[in-house]
Amino acid sequence: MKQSKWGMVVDLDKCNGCQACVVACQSENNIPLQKKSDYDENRVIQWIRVERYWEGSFPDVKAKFIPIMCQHCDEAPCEPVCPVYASYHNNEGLNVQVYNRCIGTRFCANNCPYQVRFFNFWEAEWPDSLKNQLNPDVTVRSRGIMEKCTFCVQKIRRTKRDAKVNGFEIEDGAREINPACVNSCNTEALIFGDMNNPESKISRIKAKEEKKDGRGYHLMEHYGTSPNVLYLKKVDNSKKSHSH
Amino acid sequence: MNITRREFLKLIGGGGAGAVIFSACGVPEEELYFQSPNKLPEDQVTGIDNWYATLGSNGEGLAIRIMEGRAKKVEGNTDYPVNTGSHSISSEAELQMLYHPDRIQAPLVRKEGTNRGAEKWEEISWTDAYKRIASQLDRLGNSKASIVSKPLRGRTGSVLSAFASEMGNKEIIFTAFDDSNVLSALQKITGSSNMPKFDIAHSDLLLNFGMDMFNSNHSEAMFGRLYGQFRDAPRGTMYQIESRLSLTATNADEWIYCKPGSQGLIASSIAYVLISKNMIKTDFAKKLNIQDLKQYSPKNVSTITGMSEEKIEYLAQKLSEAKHPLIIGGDEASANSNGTSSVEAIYALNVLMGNINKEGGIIINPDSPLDDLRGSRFEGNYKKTLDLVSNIKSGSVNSLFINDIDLNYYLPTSLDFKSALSKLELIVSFNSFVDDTSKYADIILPLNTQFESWGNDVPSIGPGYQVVGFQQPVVKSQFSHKGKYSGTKDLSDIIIELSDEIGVKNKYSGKKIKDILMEDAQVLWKLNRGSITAADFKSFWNGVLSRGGWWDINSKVNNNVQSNITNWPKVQTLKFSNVSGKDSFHLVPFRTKVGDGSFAKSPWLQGLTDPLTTIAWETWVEINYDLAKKMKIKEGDIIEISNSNNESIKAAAYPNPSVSPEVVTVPVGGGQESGSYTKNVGSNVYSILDVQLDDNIGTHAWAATKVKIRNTGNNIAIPKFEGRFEELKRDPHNHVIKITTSDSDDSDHH
Ligand code: SF4
Ligand code: SF4
Repeated sequence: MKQSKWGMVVDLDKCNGCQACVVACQSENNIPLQKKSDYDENRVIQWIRVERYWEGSFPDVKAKFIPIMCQHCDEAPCEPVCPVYASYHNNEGLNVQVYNRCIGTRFCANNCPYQVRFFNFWEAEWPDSLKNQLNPDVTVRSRGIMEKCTFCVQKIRRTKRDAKVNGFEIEDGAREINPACVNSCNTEALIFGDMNNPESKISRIKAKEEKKDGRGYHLMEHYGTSPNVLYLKKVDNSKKSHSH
Repeated sequence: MNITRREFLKLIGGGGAGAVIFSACGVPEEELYFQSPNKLPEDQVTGIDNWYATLGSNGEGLAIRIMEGRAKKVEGNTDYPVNTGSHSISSEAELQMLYHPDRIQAPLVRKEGTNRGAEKWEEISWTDAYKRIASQLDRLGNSKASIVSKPLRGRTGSVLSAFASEMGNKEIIFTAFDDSNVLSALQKITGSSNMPKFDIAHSDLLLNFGMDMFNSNHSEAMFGRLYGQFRDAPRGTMYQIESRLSLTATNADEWIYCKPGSQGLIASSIAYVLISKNMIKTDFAKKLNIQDLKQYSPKNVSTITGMSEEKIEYLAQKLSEAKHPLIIGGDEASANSNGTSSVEAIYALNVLMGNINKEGGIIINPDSPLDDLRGSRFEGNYKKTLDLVSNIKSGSVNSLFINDIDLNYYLPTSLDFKSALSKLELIVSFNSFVDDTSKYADIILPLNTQFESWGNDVPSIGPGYQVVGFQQPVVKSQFSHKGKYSGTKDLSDIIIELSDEIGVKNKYSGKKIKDILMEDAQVLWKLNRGSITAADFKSFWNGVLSRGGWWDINSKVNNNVQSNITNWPKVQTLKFSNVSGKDSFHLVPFRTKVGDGSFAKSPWLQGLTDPLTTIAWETWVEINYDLAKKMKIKEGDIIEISNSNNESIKAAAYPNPSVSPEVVTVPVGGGQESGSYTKNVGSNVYSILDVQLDDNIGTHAWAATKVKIRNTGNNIAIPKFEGRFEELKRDPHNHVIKITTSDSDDSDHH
């Protein structure tokens, strides 16, 4: 089987800011509950977050949204700074965090320009009953450990195992392998897939939108991080159509 | 059996293989050189998972991942026609409702000698609970009992209604955000009593008067899907007209501010322009007398609506050019004293454009295949609720059954519901939690949560063809270990058992909800059409459960629909309370991530940021940025907001650029007095709403309150996401959000 290279497309023209992706991620990945004190102390953990940007002022005003998660950079600045190789690149293009190696220097978070790495300043806690919901496929990170978006690597692993054991081909866009955010996305703004498969939806979108007049761009590409998340520009015709 | 084995089913059966330890393939070879090998649970795939189909309380079809009897993850059911695979935040939060630490585990009775509200409870058995209620009712008389409930879906609603009618038909449905006037307007316009499908996906121009689709009573995931398709090429254009920049408005191509409650006038004015300028030639347009519409000319309504004449004409022009125009409205546009007449005018525009039951227009939903089960609806009866309060006060109602609706939280302080409660001789609450109302109960009968219950549903907004969704328990009831005389139960089963004890009989007597649902399924099986047909009933039943329901894509309403309207609806004048002066504002409350407040119990949703302000765990008041500066109000200043009765709440100021200087907006959901994740969080804006009714049908005009604001001089740091991340250096060529136009002349704005 050809080696996969995972990537994501985020269509900013579709994202409506509903945050289904954020909650789906918290549920799938055992993200600690975001308490009020976490906000007060600036220690909120959201592997995927939806940033809001204001544009204009009343009455000609709008808020625009952009979901931001680990970009799984090919040239990831978070990787070389880790003294214990807890942050490394796997052979499927994922930037992976090995929790049981992490010694909590926080160099990687310091070096990530996208601010998508989160440090566990405290031990994550749940009331006993809520622990029933925790996903057994995902480590609960302990205090002193760095964490971040994994593209739901546990789903990739499980599905590949299932495919091998049961002898089926993993279809492009299969929900079993999609990260939780992608499956929940209300507007289908998030698309996930194997960029090494030229037939995959993501490859087709890339081919079209990375052309000169396409909508594709990488977040802060001038840093040379070579992200594997492709954003599609938001469409806004209001400026050209009518002035009032 | 004829079940198409589509993606969803694969998902359901896909994990059936035995546990196999994953042997670290996919780890690069260099890995071996390090001392701590990469062995994370993420790599060690163990255990078996299964996915089961059911429904969410918002009517979404869901697939729930179950491992070792525990519910782990919610996803949308890709087959289910309402939400086709996506799901909204409240559906995910049902998991936390299931495993919530505050759940009531057994029937509770108020401890002898303690006061109501003291929250001193004693666990009793179901038999004991029923007996106590029956003997009290014997004394108090069934005829003096009343039943109030949140809107219920499917057969559960029928069971409660049947019980209420045996007790003397005193069922009152209450909902904080009522769709009644939208439904009644649509019934007039379409001639059908079913909520239609809004074919947003195929429309090229969506004119939305105030409907906040993305914070909805209905499936937000459904609206999200439609919106996503609307943005596909050829890309549709959306205008949103409302007095607050809602989440929906900010996604429109243009948000056009109008004064609160003026949407009906704007719709009528657009109609005037379309007809007077001869822009459309539909039958309805020919029938209308332009003289009747003259009062709505842009010139006449411009000042009162706050919308310029040019803008009204511009919108009329756009509508006339569109191939598939669609006009919708609701929420804030329907929540003033003129709500019904406003939404009638809004939806009448569809008749004028000739888009009823046409692609990209208003698609009529057929009646349900189960003739006594109509589509679920968010219809409340505010007027009856007000009567209930006075009937309790006067003593004509002496006992009250309350099903999962926190009236004490939702009703304004001015009604003094708490003191009404104290007059009652018996309060029975059906609830999974102790909330601000059930804490005053004498007896609480604990309910199963969504994922433990049976049910069915005819979607509140169908997809244009017949659908009956089926809800099954995907896990065992959490407290089943307490034995059959304790623990929690389905509402329907409780009602049936209770009516047995009281001695009121109806067609559901002696049955279990599962049997009743099977009878419904029998009817569907005998139709022998649709998504599932089977030779025997057992396979059919298994089919509907594993697929999450039954539907028939051929059951569309194909005939030409005759609208009941012959004249242009007359938009009534607005009534507001008497609050004036330069510190007076129009108060627009709004739903956000915790819905109408009922999902505030979920720590995920409390801890989630509001998309527009990024605030969590707090109630805030939004005020125009420039005005706030003038009034010396800074972010975090504690503002006292008071209504004409001098009732007030306090909320943290959040000045922002999107608010009109005439309006302040406050989210609902804060200020609950009970619950681990709700107590001491924010304040309750419902408590200061005026008791203003819609002139036509008596719904609550929840957007019709005027308030004064005062800076208390205190200040807090608002818990929010904004500012959490250092702003990235702005670079003229590398914006965070890049913008283009449909014809690709790039113009970045950040
Ligand atoms: S986005 Fe940040 S954490 Fe992710 S790979 Fe790039 S530098 Fe590393
Ligand atoms: S789920 Fe999709 S539409 Fe909603 S915020 Fe996330 S990316 Fe945007």
